[in-house]
Amino acid sequence: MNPLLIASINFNLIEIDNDKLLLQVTNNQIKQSTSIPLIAEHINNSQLKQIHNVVAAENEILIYYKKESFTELLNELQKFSNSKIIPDKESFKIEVCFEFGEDWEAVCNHTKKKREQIISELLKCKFPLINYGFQPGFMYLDDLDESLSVPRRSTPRLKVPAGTLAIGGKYVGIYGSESPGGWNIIGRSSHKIIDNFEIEHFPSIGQKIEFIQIGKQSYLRKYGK
Amino acid sequence: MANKGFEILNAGPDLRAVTLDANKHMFYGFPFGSAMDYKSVMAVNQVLGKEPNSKVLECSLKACKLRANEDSFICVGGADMGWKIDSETIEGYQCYEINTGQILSGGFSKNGLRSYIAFSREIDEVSGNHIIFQNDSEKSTPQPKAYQFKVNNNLVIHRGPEWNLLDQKSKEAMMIYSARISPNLSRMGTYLDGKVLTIKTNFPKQSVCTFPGVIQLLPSGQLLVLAQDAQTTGGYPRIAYLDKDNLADFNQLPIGKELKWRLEIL
Repeated sequence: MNPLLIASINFNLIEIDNDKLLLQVTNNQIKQSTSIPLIAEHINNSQLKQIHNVVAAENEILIYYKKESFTELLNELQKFSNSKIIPDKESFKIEVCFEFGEDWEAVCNHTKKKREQIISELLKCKFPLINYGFQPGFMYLDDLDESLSVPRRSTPRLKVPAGTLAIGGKYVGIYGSESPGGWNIIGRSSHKIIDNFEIEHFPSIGQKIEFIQIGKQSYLRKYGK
Repeated sequence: MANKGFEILNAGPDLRAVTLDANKHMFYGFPFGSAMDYKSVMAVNQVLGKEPNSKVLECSLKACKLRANEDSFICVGGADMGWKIDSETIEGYQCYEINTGQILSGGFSKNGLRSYIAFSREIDEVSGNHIIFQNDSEKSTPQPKAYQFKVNNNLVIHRGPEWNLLDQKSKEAMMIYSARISPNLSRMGTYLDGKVLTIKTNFPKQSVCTFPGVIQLLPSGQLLVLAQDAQTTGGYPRIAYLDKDNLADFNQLPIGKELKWRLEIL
Protein backbone atom coordinates (compact mmCIF):
# COMPACT_ATOMS: atom_id res chain seq x y z
CA MET A 1 0.00 0.00 0.00
CA ASN A 2 1.24 3.49 -0.82
CA PRO A 3 2.13 5.79 2.08
CA LEU A 4 -0.56 8.23 3.13
CA LEU A 5 0.08 11.91 3.78
CA ILE A 6 -1.69 13.37 6.80
CA ALA A 7 -0.88 16.83 8.14
CA SER A 8 2.19 16.81 5.88
CA ILE A 9 3.54 13.64 7.51
CA ASN A 10 3.96 10.41 5.56
CA PHE A 11 2.53 7.26 7.09
CA ASN A 12 3.00 3.67 6.00
CA LEU A 13 -0.23 1.71 6.14
CA ILE A 14 -0.78 -1.78 7.55
CA GLU A 15 -4.25 -3.28 7.32
CA ILE A 16 -5.18 -5.68 10.13
CA ASP A 17 -8.17 -8.06 10.08
CA ASN A 18 -10.09 -5.88 7.59
CA ASP A 19 -11.23 -3.65 10.42
CA LYS A 20 -8.07 -1.94 11.71
CA LEU A 21 -5.62 0.33 9.94
CA LEU A 22 -2.20 0.99 11.45
CA LEU A 23 -0.52 4.21 10.35
CA GLN A 24 3.20 4.24 11.04
CA VAL A 25 5.42 7.27 10.55
CA THR A 26 7.83 6.46 7.72
CA ASN A 27 11.48 6.10 8.65
CA ASN A 28 12.68 9.08 6.67
CA GLN A 29 10.99 11.62 8.95
CA ILE A 30 13.36 12.02 11.83
CA LYS A 31 11.61 14.91 13.48
CA GLN A 32 7.96 15.49 12.72
CA SER A 33 6.53 18.99 12.61
CA THR A 34 3.58 18.02 14.76
CA SER A 35 2.96 15.32 17.34
CA ILE A 36 1.36 12.07 16.22
CA PRO A 37 -1.15 11.99 19.11
CA LEU A 38 -2.28 15.48 18.06
CA ILE A 39 -2.99 14.18 14.54
CA ALA A 40 -4.73 11.15 16.03
CA GLU A 41 -6.90 13.41 18.16
CA HIS A 42 -7.80 15.44 15.07
CA ILE A 43 -8.90 12.26 13.28
CA ASN A 44 -10.79 11.10 16.38
CA ASN A 45 -12.59 14.42 16.76
CA SER A 46 -13.52 14.54 13.10
CA GLN A 47 -16.10 11.82 13.84
CA LEU A 48 -15.82 10.21 10.43
CA LYS A 49 -18.67 7.75 10.00
CA GLN A 50 -16.23 5.03 8.91
CA ILE A 51 -14.31 5.15 12.21
CA HIS A 52 -15.15 3.39 15.50
CA ASN A 53 -12.03 4.30 17.45
CA VAL A 54 -8.60 5.89 17.23
CA VAL A 55 -5.57 5.06 19.38
CA ALA A 56 -2.34 7.05 19.41
CA ALA A 57 1.21 6.07 20.28
CA GLU A 58 4.44 8.03 19.89
CA ASN A 59 4.93 7.26 16.20
CA GLU A 60 1.78 5.52 15.06
CA ILE A 61 -1.99 5.67 14.97
CA LEU A 62 -4.38 2.72 15.04
CA ILE A 63 -7.78 3.28 13.48
CA TYR A 64 -10.64 0.84 14.12
CA TYR A 65 -12.93 1.21 11.13
CA LYS A 66 -16.23 -0.21 10.01
CA LYS A 67 -15.92 -3.28 7.84
CA GLU A 68 -16.11 -2.71 4.11
CA SER A 69 -15.46 1.02 4.43
CA PHE A 70 -11.73 0.88 3.81
CA THR A 71 -11.71 2.73 0.49
CA GLU A 72 -14.06 5.39 1.81
CA LEU A 73 -11.87 5.77 4.90
CA LEU A 74 -8.74 6.31 2.80
CA ASN A 75 -10.54 8.93 0.75
CA GLU A 76 -11.56 10.75 3.91
CA LEU A 77 -8.06 10.57 5.43
CA GLN A 78 -6.57 11.97 2.23
CA LYS A 79 -8.54 15.15 2.87
CA PHE A 80 -6.24 15.75 5.87
CA SER A 81 -3.07 15.55 3.76
CA ASN A 82 -2.08 19.19 4.18
CA SER A 83 -4.08 20.03 7.30
CA LYS A 84 -2.37 22.30 9.77
CA ILE A 85 -3.22 20.99 13.20
CA ILE A 86 -2.52 23.43 15.97
CA PRO A 87 -3.06 22.64 19.64
CA ASP A 88 -5.45 24.66 21.76
CA LYS A 89 -3.44 27.57 23.17
CA GLU A 90 -5.58 28.16 26.22
CA SER A 91 -4.13 26.51 29.31
CA PHE A 92 -6.19 23.97 31.23
CA LYS A 93 -6.30 24.26 34.99
CA ILE A 94 -6.29 21.23 37.24
CA GLU A 95 -6.62 21.45 41.01
CA VAL A 96 -4.09 19.46 42.99
CA CYS A 97 -3.78 18.62 46.66
CA PHE A 98 -0.12 17.82 47.37
CA GLU A 99 -0.92 16.50 50.85
CA PHE A 100 -1.87 13.16 49.25
CA GLY A 101 1.70 12.66 48.02
CA GLU A 102 2.90 9.34 49.41
CA ASP A 103 6.33 9.44 47.82
CA TRP A 104 7.57 12.88 48.80
CA GLU A 105 10.44 11.41 50.76
CA ALA A 106 11.73 9.44 47.76
CA VAL A 107 11.18 12.40 45.41
CA CYS A 108 12.97 14.84 47.75
CA ASN A 109 15.84 12.43 48.29
CA HIS A 110 16.32 11.85 44.60
CA THR A 111 16.01 15.47 43.51
CA LYS A 112 17.82 16.79 46.59
CA LYS A 113 15.15 19.46 46.85
CA LYS A 114 12.66 20.32 49.54
CA ARG A 115 9.00 19.50 49.07
CA GLU A 116 7.94 23.17 49.17
CA GLN A 117 10.52 24.03 46.53
CA ILE A 118 9.33 21.24 44.21
CA ILE A 119 5.69 22.25 44.67
CA SER A 120 6.56 25.86 43.93
CA GLU A 121 8.35 24.82 40.72
CA LEU A 122 5.45 22.61 39.61
CA LEU A 123 2.97 25.43 40.19
CA LYS A 124 5.02 27.80 38.03
CA CYS A 125 5.17 25.42 35.06
CA LYS A 126 2.74 24.71 32.26
CA PHE A 127 2.99 21.10 31.13
CA PRO A 128 1.86 20.18 27.61
CA LEU A 129 -0.39 17.12 27.46
CA ILE A 130 1.37 14.80 25.03
CA ASN A 131 -0.94 11.78 25.08
CA TYR A 132 -3.55 9.72 26.89
CA GLY A 133 -3.03 6.02 27.40
CA PHE A 134 -1.89 3.21 29.68
CA GLN A 135 -5.13 3.33 31.69
CA PRO A 136 -8.49 5.08 31.16
CA GLY A 137 -7.90 8.82 31.31
CA PHE A 138 -4.18 8.59 32.14
CA MET A 139 -2.42 11.80 31.01
CA TYR A 140 1.24 12.04 30.03
CA LEU A 141 2.56 15.57 30.66
CA ASP A 142 5.84 16.74 29.18
CA ASP A 143 8.42 19.44 29.93
CA LEU A 144 9.22 18.40 33.48
CA ASP A 145 12.44 20.10 34.46
CA GLU A 146 15.31 17.58 34.39
CA SER A 147 16.14 18.41 38.01
CA LEU A 148 12.69 17.07 39.02
CA SER A 149 12.92 13.83 37.08
CA VAL A 150 12.62 10.72 39.30
CA PRO A 151 12.89 7.09 38.12
CA ARG A 152 9.82 4.89 38.50
CA ARG A 153 9.54 2.87 41.71
CA SER A 154 11.23 -0.51 41.63
CA THR A 155 8.02 -2.16 42.83
CA PRO A 156 4.77 -0.82 41.41
CA ARG A 157 1.82 -0.32 43.74
CA LEU A 158 -1.11 -2.64 43.15
CA LYS A 159 -3.58 0.20 43.59
CA VAL A 160 -3.12 3.88 42.82
CA PRO A 161 -6.22 6.06 43.41
CA ALA A 162 -7.96 7.89 40.58
CA GLY A 163 -6.76 11.48 40.25
CA THR A 164 -3.25 10.71 41.48
CA LEU A 165 -0.51 13.11 40.33
CA ALA A 166 2.84 11.39 39.95
CA ILE A 167 6.33 11.64 38.48
CA GLY A 168 7.65 8.80 36.30
CA GLY A 169 11.08 9.44 34.79
CA LYS A 170 10.90 12.60 32.70
CA TYR A 171 7.10 12.82 32.71
CA VAL A 172 4.40 14.01 35.05
CA GLY A 173 1.38 11.72 34.94
CA ILE A 174 -2.18 11.88 36.16
CA TYR A 175 -4.07 8.64 36.80
CA GLY A 176 -7.61 9.21 35.52
CA SER A 177 -8.79 5.98 37.10
CA GLU A 178 -7.69 3.64 39.87
CA SER A 179 -5.06 1.20 38.64
CA PRO A 180 -1.75 -0.42 39.48
CA GLY A 181 1.17 1.91 38.90
CA GLY A 182 4.86 2.50 39.51
CA TRP A 183 5.13 6.29 39.34
CA ASN A 184 6.06 8.40 42.38
CA ILE A 185 2.93 9.84 43.95
CA ILE A 186 3.14 13.55 44.80
CA GLY A 187 -0.53 14.52 45.07
CA ARG A 188 -4.11 14.01 43.96
CA SER A 189 -5.86 16.02 41.29
CA SER A 190 -9.34 16.90 40.15
CA HIS A 191 -8.85 14.86 36.95
CA LYS A 192 -10.54 11.58 37.69
CA ILE A 193 -13.06 9.42 35.98
CA ILE A 194 -16.16 9.17 38.09
CA ASP A 195 -19.69 7.98 37.30
CA ASN A 196 -20.80 11.02 35.34
CA PHE A 197 -17.52 12.06 33.77
CA GLU A 198 -17.61 13.58 30.31
CA ILE A 199 -14.83 13.11 27.79
CA GLU A 200 -15.66 16.54 26.37
CA HIS A 201 -14.28 18.06 29.56
CA PHE A 202 -10.87 16.42 29.16
CA PRO A 203 -8.01 18.66 27.99
CA SER A 204 -6.89 18.18 24.41
CA ILE A 205 -3.49 17.03 23.16
CA GLY A 206 -0.90 19.79 23.21
CA GLN A 207 -2.90 21.90 25.65
CA LYS A 208 -0.80 23.31 28.52
CA ILE A 209 -1.79 22.00 31.94
CA GLU A 210 -1.51 24.34 34.91
CA PHE A 211 -1.78 23.13 38.49
CA ILE A 212 -3.75 25.02 41.11
CA GLN A 213 -2.97 24.01 44.68
CA ILE A 214 -5.82 23.30 47.09
CA GLY A 215 -5.87 22.02 50.66
CA LYS A 216 -6.94 18.57 51.75
CA GLN A 217 -10.27 19.62 53.25
CA SER A 218 -11.25 21.54 50.12
CA TYR A 219 -10.21 18.62 47.95
CA LEU A 220 -12.22 16.10 49.93
CA ARG A 221 -15.25 18.38 49.94
CA LYS A 222 -15.12 18.96 46.17
CA TYR A 223 -13.84 15.67 44.79
CA GLY A 224 -14.24 13.06 47.52
CA LYS A 225 -11.50 10.57 48.39
CA MET B 1 -43.77 -3.78 33.00
CA ALA B 2 -42.55 -4.07 36.59
CA ASN B 3 -38.78 -4.11 36.83
CA LYS B 4 -37.88 -6.78 39.36
CA GLY B 5 -35.05 -8.39 37.41
CA PHE B 6 -32.82 -11.03 38.96
CA GLU B 7 -30.94 -11.10 42.23
CA ILE B 8 -27.29 -12.18 42.26
CA LEU B 9 -26.91 -14.69 45.08
CA ASN B 10 -23.31 -15.52 44.15
CA ALA B 11 -21.38 -13.68 41.43
CA GLY B 12 -18.65 -16.31 41.04
CA PRO B 13 -15.09 -15.20 40.20
CA ASP B 14 -16.01 -12.78 37.41
CA LEU B 15 -19.56 -11.82 36.44
CA ARG B 16 -20.22 -8.88 34.15
CA ALA B 17 -22.71 -7.59 31.62
CA VAL B 18 -21.21 -7.41 28.12
CA THR B 19 -22.15 -6.62 24.55
CA LEU B 20 -20.24 -6.94 21.29
CA ASP B 21 -19.52 -3.20 21.16
CA ALA B 22 -16.08 -1.79 21.82
CA ASN B 23 -15.65 1.12 24.20
CA LYS B 24 -15.99 4.34 22.22
CA HIS B 25 -13.23 6.18 24.08
CA MET B 26 -10.11 4.17 23.32
CA PHE B 27 -8.30 7.39 22.40
CA TYR B 28 -8.45 8.28 26.12
CA GLY B 29 -6.95 4.97 27.20
CA PHE B 30 -10.14 2.98 27.71
CA PRO B 31 -9.66 -0.67 26.76
CA PHE B 32 -11.53 -2.22 23.84
CA GLY B 33 -13.84 -4.11 26.23
CA SER B 34 -16.78 -6.21 24.96
CA ALA B 35 -17.51 -9.94 25.25
CA MET B 36 -14.62 -12.39 25.10
CA ASP B 37 -16.52 -14.87 22.90
CA TYR B 38 -18.68 -13.05 20.38
CA LYS B 39 -19.81 -16.31 18.75
CA SER B 40 -21.52 -17.54 21.91
CA VAL B 41 -23.04 -14.11 22.60
CA MET B 42 -24.60 -13.96 19.15
CA ALA B 43 -25.89 -17.51 19.50
CA VAL B 44 -27.58 -17.11 22.92
CA ASN B 45 -29.23 -13.91 21.72
CA GLN B 46 -30.38 -15.57 18.54
CA VAL B 47 -32.07 -18.39 20.46
CA LEU B 48 -34.12 -15.80 22.34
CA GLY B 49 -34.91 -13.95 19.11
CA LYS B 50 -32.92 -10.89 20.14
CA GLU B 51 -30.49 -8.60 18.36
CA PRO B 52 -27.03 -10.28 18.17
CA ASN B 53 -25.52 -7.40 20.11
CA SER B 54 -27.95 -7.44 23.05
CA LYS B 55 -26.37 -7.27 26.48
CA VAL B 56 -25.73 -10.65 28.16
CA LEU B 57 -24.01 -11.84 31.33
CA GLU B 58 -20.50 -13.27 31.05
CA CYS B 59 -19.32 -15.74 33.72
CA SER B 60 -15.67 -16.75 33.70
CA LEU B 61 -14.41 -20.04 35.14
CA LYS B 62 -17.41 -20.66 37.43
CA ALA B 63 -21.13 -20.08 37.15
CA CYS B 64 -22.97 -17.38 39.02
CA LYS B 65 -26.10 -18.09 41.07
CA LEU B 66 -29.18 -16.00 40.32
CA ARG B 67 -32.73 -15.84 41.69
CA ALA B 68 -35.51 -14.76 39.34
CA ASN B 69 -37.60 -11.95 40.77
CA GLU B 70 -39.85 -12.07 37.71
CA ASP B 71 -40.78 -14.63 35.06
CA SER B 72 -38.38 -14.69 32.13
CA PHE B 73 -37.02 -16.75 29.28
CA ILE B 74 -33.30 -17.42 29.42
CA CYS B 75 -30.66 -19.08 27.28
CA VAL B 76 -27.19 -20.15 28.41
CA GLY B 77 -24.25 -20.80 26.09
CA GLY B 78 -20.48 -20.87 25.74
CA ALA B 79 -18.54 -23.05 28.20
CA ASP B 80 -20.56 -25.82 29.86
CA MET B 81 -20.92 -24.90 33.51
CA GLY B 82 -23.51 -27.54 34.34
CA TRP B 83 -26.33 -25.00 34.46
CA LYS B 84 -29.50 -25.84 36.38
CA ILE B 85 -32.83 -24.19 37.08
CA ASP B 86 -33.45 -25.30 40.66
CA SER B 87 -32.41 -28.97 40.42
CA GLU B 88 -33.18 -29.48 36.74
CA THR B 89 -30.21 -29.52 34.36
CA ILE B 90 -30.55 -27.29 31.32
CA GLU B 91 -28.73 -27.45 28.00
CA GLY B 92 -26.86 -24.76 26.15
CA TYR B 93 -28.49 -22.80 23.33
CA GLN B 94 -32.05 -23.76 24.31
CA CYS B 95 -34.75 -21.44 25.51
CA TYR B 96 -36.03 -22.13 29.05
CA GLU B 97 -38.66 -20.42 31.10
CA ILE B 98 -37.60 -19.45 34.61
CA ASN B 99 -40.30 -18.38 37.03
CA THR B 100 -40.26 -16.00 39.93
CA GLY B 101 -38.39 -17.50 42.87
CA GLN B 102 -36.53 -20.12 40.83
CA ILE B 103 -32.74 -20.31 41.03
CA LEU B 104 -30.31 -20.50 38.12
CA SER B 105 -26.97 -21.98 39.16
CA GLY B 106 -24.04 -24.06 37.95
CA GLY B 107 -20.50 -25.08 38.78
CA PHE B 108 -16.99 -24.81 37.36
CA SER B 109 -16.64 -24.85 33.59
CA LYS B 110 -16.29 -28.37 32.24
CA ASN B 111 -15.09 -27.31 28.83
CA GLY B 112 -14.14 -23.83 27.79
CA LEU B 113 -13.76 -20.92 30.15
CA ARG B 114 -16.60 -18.46 29.73
CA SER B 115 -20.33 -18.93 29.78
CA TYR B 116 -23.07 -16.50 28.71
CA ILE B 117 -26.64 -15.94 29.86
CA ALA B 118 -29.18 -14.09 27.73
CA PHE B 119 -32.55 -12.93 29.06
CA SER B 120 -35.72 -12.29 27.14
CA ARG B 121 -35.81 -8.70 28.41
CA GLU B 122 -33.01 -6.21 27.77
CA ILE B 123 -30.45 -5.89 30.58
CA ASP B 124 -30.03 -2.31 31.67
CA GLU B 125 -27.27 -2.79 34.21
CA VAL B 126 -25.81 -4.96 36.92
CA SER B 127 -26.09 -2.84 40.02
CA GLY B 128 -24.87 -4.21 43.32
CA ASN B 129 -26.44 -7.65 43.55
CA HIS B 130 -29.25 -6.97 41.07
CA ILE B 131 -29.64 -7.43 37.35
CA ILE B 132 -31.92 -4.64 36.27
CA PHE B 133 -33.85 -4.74 32.99
CA GLN B 134 -34.75 -1.77 30.85
CA ASN B 135 -38.19 -0.46 31.72
CA ASP B 136 -39.66 -0.60 28.26
CA SER B 137 -38.20 -3.93 27.17
CA GLU B 138 -40.64 -6.69 26.33
CA LYS B 139 -40.01 -10.39 26.18
CA SER B 140 -38.62 -11.52 22.83
CA THR B 141 -39.76 -14.52 20.78
CA PRO B 142 -37.60 -17.65 21.10
CA GLN B 143 -35.99 -19.19 18.01
CA PRO B 144 -34.68 -22.71 17.37
CA LYS B 145 -31.13 -23.66 18.35
CA ALA B 146 -28.59 -23.04 15.61
CA TYR B 147 -25.15 -23.25 17.26
CA GLN B 148 -23.12 -25.75 19.21
CA PHE B 149 -20.23 -24.62 21.40
CA LYS B 150 -16.96 -26.42 20.72
CA VAL B 151 -13.51 -25.80 22.14
CA ASN B 152 -11.24 -25.04 19.22
CA ASN B 153 -7.53 -25.12 19.97
CA ASN B 154 -6.31 -25.21 16.35
CA LEU B 155 -5.82 -21.58 15.54
CA VAL B 156 -4.56 -19.32 12.77
CA ILE B 157 -2.23 -16.35 13.23
CA HIS B 158 -0.93 -13.63 10.93
CA ARG B 159 2.33 -11.70 10.92
CA GLY B 160 2.37 -8.66 13.20
CA PRO B 161 4.05 -5.29 12.61
CA GLU B 162 7.30 -6.45 14.30
CA TRP B 163 7.42 -9.95 12.77
CA ASN B 164 10.70 -9.19 11.07
CA LEU B 165 12.41 -8.55 14.40
CA LEU B 166 12.26 -12.31 15.08
CA ASP B 167 15.38 -14.29 14.31
CA GLN B 168 15.07 -17.00 11.67
CA LYS B 169 14.69 -19.88 14.14
CA SER B 170 11.93 -18.07 15.99
CA LYS B 171 10.13 -17.29 12.74
CA GLU B 172 10.21 -20.95 11.85
CA ALA B 173 8.97 -21.88 15.32
CA MET B 174 6.07 -19.44 15.02
CA MET B 175 4.86 -20.92 11.75
CA ILE B 176 3.56 -24.02 13.48
CA TYR B 177 3.61 -23.41 17.21
CA SER B 178 2.25 -25.31 20.18
CA ALA B 179 1.94 -24.07 23.74
CA ARG B 180 -0.22 -24.32 26.84
CA ILE B 181 -2.42 -21.71 28.46
CA SER B 182 -0.59 -20.57 31.60
CA PRO B 183 -2.40 -19.87 34.89
CA ASN B 184 -1.63 -16.20 34.34
CA LEU B 185 -4.74 -15.22 32.41
CA SER B 186 -7.38 -12.54 32.63
CA ARG B 187 -9.54 -10.32 30.46
CA MET B 188 -6.38 -8.27 29.86
CA GLY B 189 -4.33 -11.08 28.36
CA THR B 190 -3.01 -14.64 28.55
CA TYR B 191 0.58 -15.78 28.96
CA LEU B 192 1.55 -18.89 27.05
CA ASP B 193 3.86 -21.64 28.21
CA GLY B 194 5.73 -22.67 25.09
CA LYS B 195 9.00 -22.47 23.21
CA VAL B 196 11.01 -19.37 24.10
CA LEU B 197 11.52 -17.05 21.13
CA THR B 198 14.15 -14.42 20.46
CA ILE B 199 14.50 -11.26 18.43
CA LYS B 200 17.48 -10.14 16.34
CA THR B 201 17.67 -6.57 17.55
CA ASN B 202 16.39 -4.58 20.49
CA PHE B 203 12.89 -3.20 20.20
CA PRO B 204 12.94 0.60 20.51
CA LYS B 205 11.85 1.89 23.91
CA GLN B 206 8.64 3.51 22.77
CA SER B 207 5.03 2.58 23.12
CA VAL B 208 3.09 1.16 20.18
CA CYS B 209 -0.62 0.59 19.61
CA THR B 210 -2.02 -2.76 20.70
CA PHE B 211 -5.34 -4.51 20.07
CA PRO B 212 -7.20 -7.65 21.22
CA GLY B 213 -5.58 -10.75 19.74
CA VAL B 214 -2.15 -9.25 19.25
CA ILE B 215 0.73 -11.54 20.30
CA GLN B 216 3.53 -9.75 22.13
CA LEU B 217 7.00 -11.15 22.69
CA LEU B 218 8.18 -10.38 26.22
CA PRO B 219 11.86 -9.82 27.06
CA SER B 220 11.88 -13.29 28.68
CA GLY B 221 11.00 -14.86 25.31
CA GLN B 222 7.51 -15.78 26.53
CA LEU B 223 4.43 -14.91 24.47
CA LEU B 224 1.52 -12.83 25.75
CA VAL B 225 -1.77 -12.74 23.85
CA LEU B 226 -3.67 -9.55 24.62
CA ALA B 227 -7.40 -9.71 25.18
CA GLN B 228 -10.38 -7.37 25.28
CA ASP B 229 -9.40 -5.43 28.41
CA ALA B 230 -5.72 -4.93 27.56
CA GLN B 231 -4.09 -1.51 27.60
CA THR B 232 -4.43 0.35 24.32
CA THR B 233 -0.67 0.86 23.99
CA GLY B 234 2.28 -1.23 25.06
CA GLY B 235 6.04 -1.48 24.89
CA TYR B 236 6.67 -5.00 23.56
CA PRO B 237 7.06 -6.12 19.94
CA ARG B 238 3.87 -7.28 18.25
CA ILE B 239 5.18 -10.26 16.38
CA ALA B 240 1.83 -11.69 15.31
CA TYR B 241 -1.90 -11.59 15.89
CA LEU B 242 -4.67 -14.15 16.07
CA ASP B 243 -7.05 -14.36 13.17
CA LYS B 244 -10.17 -12.46 14.23
CA ASP B 245 -12.35 -15.56 13.92
CA ASN B 246 -10.04 -17.39 16.32
CA LEU B 247 -9.82 -14.78 19.07
CA ALA B 248 -13.16 -15.90 20.52
CA ASP B 249 -11.93 -19.52 20.39
CA PHE B 250 -8.67 -18.60 22.09
CA ASN B 251 -10.51 -16.72 24.85
CA GLN B 252 -12.38 -19.94 25.69
CA LEU B 253 -9.23 -22.02 26.30
CA PRO B 254 -8.85 -22.87 29.99
CA ILE B 255 -5.66 -22.97 32.06
CA GLY B 256 -3.39 -25.84 31.02
CA LYS B 257 -5.12 -26.43 27.69
CA GLU B 258 -2.77 -27.13 24.80
CA LEU B 259 -3.14 -25.06 21.66
CA LYS B 260 -1.59 -25.07 18.23
CA TRP B 261 -1.48 -22.41 15.61
CA ARG B 262 -0.23 -22.03 12.10
CA LEU B 263 0.86 -18.89 10.35
CA GLU B 264 -1.16 -17.74 7.36
CA ILE B 265 0.42 -15.04 5.25
CA LEU B 266 -2.07 -12.47 4.02
